[in-house]
Amino acid sequence: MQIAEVRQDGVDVIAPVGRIDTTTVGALEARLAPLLAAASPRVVVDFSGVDYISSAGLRVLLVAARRVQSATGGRLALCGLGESVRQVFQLAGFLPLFTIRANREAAVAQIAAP
Amino acid sequence: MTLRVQVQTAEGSRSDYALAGTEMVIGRSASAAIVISDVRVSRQHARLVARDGRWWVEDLGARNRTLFNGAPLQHPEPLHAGDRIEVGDAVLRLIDGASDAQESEVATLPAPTATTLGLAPHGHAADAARIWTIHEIHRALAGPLSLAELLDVILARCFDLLEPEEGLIMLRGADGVVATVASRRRGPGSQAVAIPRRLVDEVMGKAQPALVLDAAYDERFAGSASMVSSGIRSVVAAPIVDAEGTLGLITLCSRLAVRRFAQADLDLLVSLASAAALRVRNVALADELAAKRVVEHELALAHDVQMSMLPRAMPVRPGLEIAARLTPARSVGGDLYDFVLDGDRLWFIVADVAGKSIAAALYMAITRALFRATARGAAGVADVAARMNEELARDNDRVMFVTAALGCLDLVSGAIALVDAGHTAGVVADRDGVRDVQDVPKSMALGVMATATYTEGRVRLQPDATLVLYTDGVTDARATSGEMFGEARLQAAIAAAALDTPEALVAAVVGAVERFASGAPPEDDLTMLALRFRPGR
Repeated sequence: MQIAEVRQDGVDVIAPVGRIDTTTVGALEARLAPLLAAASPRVVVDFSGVDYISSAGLRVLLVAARRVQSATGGRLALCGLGESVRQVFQLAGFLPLFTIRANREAAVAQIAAP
Repeated sequence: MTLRVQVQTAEGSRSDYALAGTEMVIGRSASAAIVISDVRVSRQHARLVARDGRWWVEDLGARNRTLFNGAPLQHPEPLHAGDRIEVGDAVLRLIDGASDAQESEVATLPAPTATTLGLAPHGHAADAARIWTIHEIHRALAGPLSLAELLDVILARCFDLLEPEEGLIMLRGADGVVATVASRRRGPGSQAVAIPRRLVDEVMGKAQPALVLDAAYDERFAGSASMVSSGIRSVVAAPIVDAEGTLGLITLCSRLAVRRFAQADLDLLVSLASAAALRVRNVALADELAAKRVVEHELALAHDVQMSMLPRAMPVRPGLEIAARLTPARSVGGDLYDFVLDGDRLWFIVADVAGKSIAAALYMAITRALFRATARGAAGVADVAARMNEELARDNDRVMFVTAALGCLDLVSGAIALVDAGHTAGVVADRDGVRDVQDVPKSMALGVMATATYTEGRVRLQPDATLVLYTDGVTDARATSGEMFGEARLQAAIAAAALDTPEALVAAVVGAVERFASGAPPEDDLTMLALRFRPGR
């Protein structure tokens, strides 16, 4: 799975491309791990290139949210959720668990704010 | 006050470090600033950390305790000269930095390696010495069985032969990304230097070694201010390459004041790297194969656990027709269905555990046990969901969760209560077509939040109407084109079989999914449950 990564206004933005399912979720998990290991992780996951996410993918994001909550000053936001990806979050009842913004700019602004 | 730490190991070796930088990790890992080779010491055991203008020691959650002045280290303690830290059998003593600074690690200037080894540029004697050195390297590398051990040994040989201040090995992973897999450092500090992308690309891309006499004047290091300012100025890098391609690279660095690498050093590193290549390839393959076997064994085990938990017979009651089917994915899925017949009530569940692993299968086993334990005699299905959730969320360190549709059918009135715990509430099929189940509020998947609340909705089935529950393995099944089966096809398939028995309906829909996937093995478990009830019969 192709995963783009940039640092923007002190926020790590990662943008996976394609399907996040059992076979690809390991790559996403591996890329998130070092970002989440920071003292105060500030991470945006941009889903604009993602057309499908399975429950295994949701689990990795849930792990990320837990990790961020347990770190002082840690923040996580999601953005660019297409209709089908949003529906998977909605079905699992996960929408209230995450900070979700329409696009990358809004998500980074949310996370970078003091 | 400047502090130093003197490390004495059980074997009697002593080393001395100045506290520098912001953090120095103590551990068994080769990347630790203070490396202690003792199996009782964790890879990252404890650390010395500079905070608020002083140094502190803190435990990094090591398996065996860190002792501070003889007592277990419970929380970070500020450090003073005279303090004593014990990890495993090693004793670390804090001393006043001013007292014997001349013992500094970097103060000893190693002689150029070529001289040490007697490797003159020409002549038979030089060749013989060189062959002997390479023979020694091969022997040293033959021992380790795991990749991690092998990389440690390779770095150790690099340090013995070339005496750099810092060394690191990068390997290309299965995903194609080149990442640092082992590093080692002499003296204080724990931060491995960042090797410029350009140098990595050049050495790996062209499979050619590189000798950087002074990074400050080398264009490959332009924009790599961190390396130049860290004082790392002289660099040798050699590709780890064999007949099948480039596996990675070994890079050694030193400050100019300490060590300036020469061509002879590079030649030696190239020999070492090519000796390493064969072993790295073999050990990596063996590791991969072993890991694959473990995974396959786990999958087989998890599959058995899963299948053994499905009910062997459907519940039988006058007026009740019920059918369920689970088609397991080759890579273990975590789907589940179950029933509990409890007086005049039939409890049922269709669930999907996130992730495919032995951990998911065990979580599923717990889910089923909880369902059976809480359903019997429960006040209502929302209550069952809440109690299962509370148990599943407790001590859920692995962050597993289950999406589930849970229901209770009243076998007298025919009323159905349903909870949608992060799943779907299914569809109702009758002669008028297929509709999503309405009026069942969305609740959180089970196991995510202990405090989540669950609300049930009521469904009343007309005679001849069938309730169909399913997991996302049905809707997300893919054709070879990559297209997913989806809600619309599912509803059409159900509509076409709406008046058949639940048994025939389930078979028809599963058949439609299989035809759509044109025989491709399912990527996820595919589970369906259909039930119909005519009261008073």
